[in-house]
Amino acid sequence: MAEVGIVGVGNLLLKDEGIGVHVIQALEKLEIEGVKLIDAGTSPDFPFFVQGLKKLVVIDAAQMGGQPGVVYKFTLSELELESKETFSLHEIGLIENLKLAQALGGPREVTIIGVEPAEVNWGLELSPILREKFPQILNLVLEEGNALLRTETV
Amino acid sequence: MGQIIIDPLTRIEGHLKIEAMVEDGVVKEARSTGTLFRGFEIILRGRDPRDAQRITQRICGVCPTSHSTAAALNLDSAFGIAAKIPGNGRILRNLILGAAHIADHILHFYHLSALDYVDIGALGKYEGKDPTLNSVKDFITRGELGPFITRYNDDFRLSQEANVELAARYLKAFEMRRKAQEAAAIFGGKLPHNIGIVPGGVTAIATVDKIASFLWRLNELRDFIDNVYLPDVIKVAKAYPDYLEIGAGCKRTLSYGVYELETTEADLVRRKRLFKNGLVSESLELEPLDISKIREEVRNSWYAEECAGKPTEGKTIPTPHKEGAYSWIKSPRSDGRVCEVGSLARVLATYVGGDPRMRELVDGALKEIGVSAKALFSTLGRHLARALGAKFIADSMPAWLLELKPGEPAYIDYEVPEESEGMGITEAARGALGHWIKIKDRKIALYQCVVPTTWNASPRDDHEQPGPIEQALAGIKIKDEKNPVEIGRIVRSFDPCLACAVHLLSPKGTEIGRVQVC
Repeated sequence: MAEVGIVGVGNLLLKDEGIGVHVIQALEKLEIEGVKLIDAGTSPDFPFFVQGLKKLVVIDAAQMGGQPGVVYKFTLSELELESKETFSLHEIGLIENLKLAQALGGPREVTIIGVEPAEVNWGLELSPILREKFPQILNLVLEEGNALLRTETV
Repeated sequence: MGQIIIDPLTRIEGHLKIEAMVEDGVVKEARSTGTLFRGFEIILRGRDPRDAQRITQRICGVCPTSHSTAAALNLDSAFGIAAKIPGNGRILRNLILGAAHIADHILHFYHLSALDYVDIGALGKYEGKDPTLNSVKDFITRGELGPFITRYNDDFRLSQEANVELAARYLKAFEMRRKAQEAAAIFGGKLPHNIGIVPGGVTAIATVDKIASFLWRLNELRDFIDNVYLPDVIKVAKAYPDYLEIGAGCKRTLSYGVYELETTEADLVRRKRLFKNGLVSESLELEPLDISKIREEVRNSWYAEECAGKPTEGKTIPTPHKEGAYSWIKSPRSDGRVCEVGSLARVLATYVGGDPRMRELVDGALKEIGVSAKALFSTLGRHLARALGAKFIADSMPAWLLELKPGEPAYIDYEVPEESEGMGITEAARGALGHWIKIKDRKIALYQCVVPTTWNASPRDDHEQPGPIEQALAGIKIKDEKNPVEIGRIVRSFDPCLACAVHLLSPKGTEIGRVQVC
């Protein structure tokens, strides 16, 4: 069974917000072995999808104020919970879900690839900027996946 | 006069904002603002009608199965095959949707609401040997509460022991949601975003293996609902009796009904369904559902006046600077009246409609808690109705599995018509869901969805009647304005869902280790 997973997160109906899902759809065509590909969409069931995996690459749109199309990389431990406020109406967000997955014995090693969106509004296609960057983004995700496959499992 | 604003925009865009004006510790007036601009219909226009089943599932990460069901019913009706779906197709659709609803009920109580009533911090003092509980205890003692962020709250009323027990169930409930999703995927092909439910029926074939595989998961779920979920909700209700009174709101519910019990009736309003349709008011009388009376009003919404009307005529012309408006949500009303939707509405319509099994179930639970049926119109009444709804559907499924005819078709073929109209009304776990379509030149000319949260979180209408959540908050006593737990409990009991529209990751705080890669 695969120990490494690549998860795409986001809403496919909102152009660049769906970058994670677009990446997974492209990877599915490559028939990669030894890696579990997961299109998590915006599902709260995220923690079960990654059960049994040891290492994970997550791709999502990340609004950090950089130029559209810029790609960021972090590990989970480098990210603070988006908010430590104790009162909100929220459902559980991505980072909470990742930590929850860990508490339930899920992947310890998590790399997050964030892509700065250019356009977030209704549409099934990526913006021209992200479409142009797409091959690079895809390669980067593959490199991350490969790096995880090569390293020893902790 | 104080003003409390709970605005989660900092974390997820496209969510709900609640503003409450508080005077002398009492909510005088509340405003619910939906920040989601409803315009995804634009994506569907001009496409092959069959795309609707795939695309509308992406509207919501929590209710994709309900959207696929509404879309399939909508297309069945537009394609003229609503009364021709094979028996196996009808049953398999029920089973896929039912399993998804059970998962959603468990999610709503344990993972979205329980931390309002259960002090998960009690795990910090846990001395037992359960490895998972200890793993969570580690997170908590490291100060890294992570997903277990307790909504700061000094109104926890369960004992240390009960808190630990319910915290353990918080974890067990994850496993149960997974089982329910696996069950749905057996016939749905995959989850989320199933590929099984399509216009014409279901793509999967019922085999003996699949039926057995579904059944053993269902048995585990039924055991959990009977011995854990329902008793836990009752335990919480007993510890927080005031929440069986407050948060009632408009006291009029509306259900479209769900789970088809026959295949030969094309009219969805007249079709026999497990959960009945209709409106129920405080006097516990059932009024028939009349779709032609449903209109969306826009006086307080950021839409041009011409966007008001029946869902089939609904236009989406945004006017973000419209004076006085305060929400992107329209105000759906039935004959001009405010209606709440959700499991409460389904349970009430079925209960008041006289279903013997539902009567026994509801009366039994009410007796155990020691309250009358009117207590259902309340914050914890909504949670109770979800647990009872979960039991009602789970208990109905074994007979459906036996009704399946292994190997027989679950799908019939059809032609996409040149021109047509359709309607698909069903229920998401959180309430009434309707899809409407107009087809021209074999393409989608118009597609409209009216989702449950549109009803529940709607703003004031043309007659300035507040929406259900707004009404539920009016008059509520707030103990601590800085920490209005009462508002959170009440709003969450409606299970509002706009979150799924946008899920941007917007990291805050630390910039350490941020690497710009390309």
